[in-house]
Amino acid sequence: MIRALVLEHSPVRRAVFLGMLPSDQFEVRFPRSDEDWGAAFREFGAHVVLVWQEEPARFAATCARLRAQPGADVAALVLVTRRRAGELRAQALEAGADGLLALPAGVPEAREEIDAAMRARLGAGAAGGRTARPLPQAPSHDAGATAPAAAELPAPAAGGRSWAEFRAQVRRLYATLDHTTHYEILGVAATAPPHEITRAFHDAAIAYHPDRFVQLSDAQDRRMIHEIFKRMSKAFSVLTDPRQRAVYDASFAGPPTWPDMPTREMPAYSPVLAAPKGAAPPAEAAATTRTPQGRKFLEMAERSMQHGKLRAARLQLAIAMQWEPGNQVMQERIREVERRILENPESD
Amino acid sequence: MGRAVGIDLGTSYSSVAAMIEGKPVVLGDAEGVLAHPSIVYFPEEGEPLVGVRAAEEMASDPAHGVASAKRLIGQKFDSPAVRVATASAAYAIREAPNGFPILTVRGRDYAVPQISAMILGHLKEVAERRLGETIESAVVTVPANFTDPQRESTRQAARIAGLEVMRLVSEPTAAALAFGYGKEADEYLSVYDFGGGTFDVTLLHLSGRVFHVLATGGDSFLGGDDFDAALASYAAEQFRRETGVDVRTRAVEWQRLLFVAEKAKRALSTKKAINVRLHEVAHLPTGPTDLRFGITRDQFNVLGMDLVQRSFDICDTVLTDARLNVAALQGLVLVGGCTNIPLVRQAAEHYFGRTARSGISPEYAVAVGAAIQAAALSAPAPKSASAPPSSLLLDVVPKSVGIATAGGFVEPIIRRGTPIPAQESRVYSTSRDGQTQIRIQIHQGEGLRIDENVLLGEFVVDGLPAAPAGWIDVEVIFEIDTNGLLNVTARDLRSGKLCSGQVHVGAELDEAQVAQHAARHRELRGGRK
Repeated sequence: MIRALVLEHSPVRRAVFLGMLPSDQFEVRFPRSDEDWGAAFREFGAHVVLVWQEEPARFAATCARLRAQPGADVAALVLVTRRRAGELRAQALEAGADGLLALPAGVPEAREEIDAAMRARLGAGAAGGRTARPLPQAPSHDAGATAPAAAELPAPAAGGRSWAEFRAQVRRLYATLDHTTHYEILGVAATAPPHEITRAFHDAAIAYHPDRFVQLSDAQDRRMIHEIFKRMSKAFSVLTDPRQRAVYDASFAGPPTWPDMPTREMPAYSPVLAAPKGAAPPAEAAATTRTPQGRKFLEMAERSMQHGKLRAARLQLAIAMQWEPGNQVMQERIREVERRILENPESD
Repeated sequence: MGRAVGIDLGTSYSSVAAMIEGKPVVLGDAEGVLAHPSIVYFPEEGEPLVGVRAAEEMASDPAHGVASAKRLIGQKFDSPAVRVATASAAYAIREAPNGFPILTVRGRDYAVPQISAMILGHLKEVAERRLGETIESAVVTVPANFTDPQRESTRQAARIAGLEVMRLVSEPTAAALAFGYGKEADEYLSVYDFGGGTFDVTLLHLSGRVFHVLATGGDSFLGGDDFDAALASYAAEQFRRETGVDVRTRAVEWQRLLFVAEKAKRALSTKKAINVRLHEVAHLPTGPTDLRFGITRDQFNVLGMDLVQRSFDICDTVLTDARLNVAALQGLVLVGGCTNIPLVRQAAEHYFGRTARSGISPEYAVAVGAAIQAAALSAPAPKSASAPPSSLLLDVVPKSVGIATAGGFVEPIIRRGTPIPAQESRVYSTSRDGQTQIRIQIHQGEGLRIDENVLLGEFVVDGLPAAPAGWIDVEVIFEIDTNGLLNVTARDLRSGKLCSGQVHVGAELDEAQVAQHAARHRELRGGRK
């Protein structure tokens, strides 16, 4: 099993990657934020990173950005492009990539290019005096490959967990409920077939179904468990309906980007133009936003935080993040809100 | 907390079961009767009779008893169920100010939940006598396609009888619990429940101790009573041809004929042919005349074929809902008294392409399943997350819940078959300047138009700040919790604050009436001891 990370936000392109990387040979993840990338390199232990890049001029910048992530230097880097790859290969290798994959490509081509890139990285690592990640041999890595996903998610009936541990787990899940994906809440891979989702849902029900906690005296615990299981139940019904699952997969990547449009940085939003008449001067944080909607919701969130309306703030920040997934200020705020909610779960 | 029992409140028969030393047991009364007729008889003096004694009285004096009260519970006066009852029942039915029917027997008025409460009270007594302890909570079964008003009225009936309903469980689901309990199988199962008054079918996925309902459906106007009526009609038609007297227009004689027809139907399950005689049905110029008729099983099968066919239309829908075909099912469980009829059994086995599983008694499976769920709900909270429960039921929303939209249509919000607990939300904006209130009508049912569905109530979001049209966005959250109850809350998206709002559900009785009837019920019971 080869663990692959893919830098891609467009659902259409993600589908192309999933087609090239079948789930029996690859475990694929699509990290979203810089933080996700950091975590992915630390915990996931990627063998290869794939990036779809149509602009040869930007090869170098992309490679440098990815290599800058701690832990990234042991993974092979493969650029994916629709252009004539033969001509660009030299350019890609010079930029720091280990391979270049030309589209359209089937599973064998992709596998060959990725294997070559991993070997190349192994060689480069040896030459540079670093230890590259050893290549996976047989499917013996399977257990290790799925472990990171399972460790942070409910592993319900497994092992004799104590009540205190279970309660702590409930609190953790409850605090992060708003931005846990349907896949994460059930602890399944994004490529999981329906029967696996059903099994995961049954395991989740054994651990979290509110019927098991009817006689629990702590009303707050009961409510948290109820909310958590409601999300699990929702996740199950969405992911086992092929139509709903397709819609969901396409939506949770954030605002979709049109496949072949050059992505352009939005100019910084000018607060002078947008400030409504008589409004207070914009807060410092709002100046870091790039979209009017992002700014609006960030401002709302800040007001909510000042008034101690933490849940409202979290909702507003989540909406703001939809518009600007990479905004550092928003990420900081959401962490702060989460921390405050965790400290005081009964807050508004 | 004390022990909780499981109650199968049937249209024609009811039973009660409890877990005794880890095993579900159907509880009998002093004479060992396990299936209690769901009949209440009001004698000239003294308190109402319930069960076997009521059935005996009812046979000779049908005008002062109420049978099949379940068909009327939670139904409005102008609903088809009540119209049918008004036409055929020997007691008077009139409309209460809140639109629900009121029955008048021996000059006293009763709301339908009061009648059901008498049956539930009788079952409670049976259980208390058998178990030697006070019973205060129960799991009660209802047909899969009961609407919320019907469920709410059933809850009220239980409250009047002094029972707290821990959960209302669908009858076929309860039967599946009884069937799969302790087996830890992994298979897809269909439960075909043809009872006295209702037909239900449920598809489940049994996986270890998890009972996962995939889809459920039913018809509350299809049951054993319809077989009785078909048979009685057949006899009445013959009698009319011979004598010119139509028994169907005479309430008392018609009730007597139905009673005989039910016996004939049961006999035909074991005999090939039967002769029936009903004394002094009509007074002709030649003197009192008896009604006699003979019928063979084949003739009976012809009469019943339509009814059986109607059940398969529902099975088709349920299979489609579950995205399964018949070949994917590994087991068929038959439940309900009607599945003793050879025609029904054979047709069901033919439809599902396999022989029915044996091992549970079709009459008591529902009560047993309810007892299992009652035990699961009254089990103490797990002390460690690793201790698995002995059974876990994953239920679904039995009927879609939607909101009224412009033009008299209903937009479904939570569709039937969604696993519960379920939550959906919609965002609404104000449409007029200065609008401070948003009204949302909530309907239940599968119809596209408002008049094809049941109105559950109206949700009013109040206290919105006055603003130009379209400025205020309100997110309305519809939640169906594990009890199958609908909760609606609203949130102003701008401020993130919860708006005040409430659902005004048209319940059959109000709180004060329930309390008053409950007090009266306690008084009656106290006087008997």
